[in-house]
Amino acid sequence: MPDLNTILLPQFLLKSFFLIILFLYAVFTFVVFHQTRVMNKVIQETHSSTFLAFITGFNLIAAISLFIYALVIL
Amino acid sequence: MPDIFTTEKNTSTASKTQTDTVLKKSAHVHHFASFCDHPREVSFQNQEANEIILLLLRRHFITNVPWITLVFLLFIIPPLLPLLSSELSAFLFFSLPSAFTQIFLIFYYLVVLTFALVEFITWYFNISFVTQKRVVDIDFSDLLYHDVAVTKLSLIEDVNYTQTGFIRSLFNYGDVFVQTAGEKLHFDFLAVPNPTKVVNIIQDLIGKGSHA
Repeated sequence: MPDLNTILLPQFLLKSFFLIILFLYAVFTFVVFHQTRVMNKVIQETHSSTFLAFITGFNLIAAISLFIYALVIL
Repeated sequence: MPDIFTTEKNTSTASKTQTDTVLKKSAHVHHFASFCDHPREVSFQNQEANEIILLLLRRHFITNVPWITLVFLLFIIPPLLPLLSSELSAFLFFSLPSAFTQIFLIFYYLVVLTFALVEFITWYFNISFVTQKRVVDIDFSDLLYHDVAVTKLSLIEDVNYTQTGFIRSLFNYGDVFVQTAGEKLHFDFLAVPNPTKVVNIIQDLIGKGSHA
């Protein structure tokens, strides 16, 4: 549990700010991934649908990884 | 009685021939096509078993050039930043601890990638189909909004297109407007390639519909 002096450190505030932004970004990439899955059910193109699902899935994993990475190293 | 059976046989034979012709004309859709006549390996939700897609339409790929250029510029900005402004780059790269700079750079590139992805899927999922029975228009915008509108060919009243401007004439794309007597009065296919051909195909189909 960080004390008040630690909380008021600029580096701690910056870290919190970064983590909040990265968390919101991860949520946004999840929305992109989910919407792509929904739309892939509306339109089915054999190869392109799989490719898009893969790319948006990769984007989601990258965003989550970055959040975890930031949590560890900052 | 025998006449009835003869007619049915003829009709089914004609239908089979028509289906065979359509299948022979089927074209493989290359990845992310914006215009495809008789596409294969493509289907949409609620497509009927005997319904054949005659036309697949998206905005012309050239309409993606502005965001592709922007993404390219955003990608090359960080390496060029020291050349553009040494003060700004010194602030970004030296005033922050190295871990923050590292995270910030990765985050920046991921945001640019996500921006490109969102622009791309907005283009990709804005699609229209013309089948031998109906016209299907799928609108997808702002990630959270999608609208699927369908009208029967028999409800189509008028089809026309506009093609204005140098770029549109050069790359042969334009806006096709379909007016219907249905619940949704307008079906707009914006910036689609070969608008003349699209209008001709739909007009032929309406003609077929009225003769049948």
